Amino acid sequence: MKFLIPVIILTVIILPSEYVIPFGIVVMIGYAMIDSSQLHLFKRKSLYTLFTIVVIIQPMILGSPTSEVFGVSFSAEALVRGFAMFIRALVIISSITYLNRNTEKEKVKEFWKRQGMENFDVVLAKAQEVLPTIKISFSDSIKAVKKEGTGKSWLRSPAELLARLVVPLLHKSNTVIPEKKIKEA
Amino acid sequence: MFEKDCWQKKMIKLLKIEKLSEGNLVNTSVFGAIWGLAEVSLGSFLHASKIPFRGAIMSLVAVLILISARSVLKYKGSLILLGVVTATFRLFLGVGFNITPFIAIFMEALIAEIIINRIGFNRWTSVLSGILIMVYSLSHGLIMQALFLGADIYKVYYEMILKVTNMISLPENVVLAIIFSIPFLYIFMGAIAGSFGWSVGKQIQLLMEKE
Repeated sequence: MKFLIPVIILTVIILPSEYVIPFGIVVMIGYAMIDSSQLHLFKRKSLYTLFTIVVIIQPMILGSPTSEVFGVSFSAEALVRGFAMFIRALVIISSITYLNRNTEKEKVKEFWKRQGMENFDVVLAKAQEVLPTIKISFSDSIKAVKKEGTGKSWLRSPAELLARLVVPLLHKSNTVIPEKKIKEA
Repeated sequence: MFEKDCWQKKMIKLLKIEKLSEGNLVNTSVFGAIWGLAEVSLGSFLHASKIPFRGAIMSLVAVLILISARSVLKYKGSLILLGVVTATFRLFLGVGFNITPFIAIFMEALIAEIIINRIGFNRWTSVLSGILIMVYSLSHGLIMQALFLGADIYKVYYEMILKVTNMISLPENVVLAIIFSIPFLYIFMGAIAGSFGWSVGKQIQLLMEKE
């Protein structure tokens, strides 16, 4: 299935508007049958915003009006174009979400290692390790600035303020001991 | 097959990073975590609040972090490694649809790495990197929209501009001036972010030397 997804994305990009609609509908039914969680996409508000803009509003204000429904005139050509846009976006987002959900972190690490980044997994693991320390350190530094009342003078040299936030982290992190080592000790 | 091998060899050459010292490893992790934190918190907040030009705001943050990080991370490929770590963070920890920020983060790091690696690291190359990253940021939105919605989206934008212009009877010159001022604004902001990032980097170096 994973190998089919790039083909589906490429097809939906290349196909002209009038063919995208039936193709996209078939693909979406296929996705829903393989993995019903793909339908969670329809819970997103942004999807309905996109639908409203490209399928409802766009044909009413753009192009020359050729049809009329309930007294509202719209361009049929713009409607097809808008619907194709919506279906195309739906298929691409679903395809990438499917790929994203089924790709394990380990495989991403292996991919970057294969590309020559031997230290990638170590750096990623360390970055995750120092993340809580950084959060605490940043909020402590900001509190200290407020307490000292030096905020105004530091606003005159924001570069120094930012550097002061980062430098202690660079030094402190050299002494960060991985949790595993603490447990071993 | 041959083409694929060539491409892979080029990629490996570009991404090949020497074995890192403990200091470089830790400092890369710290900058990766800072950028990752910014992407996950600020990026997710901007994504949820639907603020316009949120991509540009995140790109300015990227310029600032990339340039200031380069003053500490002096090894070849450091910015690419930083970008890949942050992009992976965004992919697995971010809220919403994360593939476009993943591509943007990687491309921004790649641009900065190529410029600084080829020309050298000084205020001017920092400004140039900032400008090019912001130019990419502008085109990233347009490319991604064309990719997701199809090239028809440009036609829609064009017709929409014409319609609005006619509705409020704005002269064509004014409309063109407004449209072209956006890239200039991006370039200007990129230059400032690049220069500011370089100043932050210098301050980091000074403070580290003092300690």
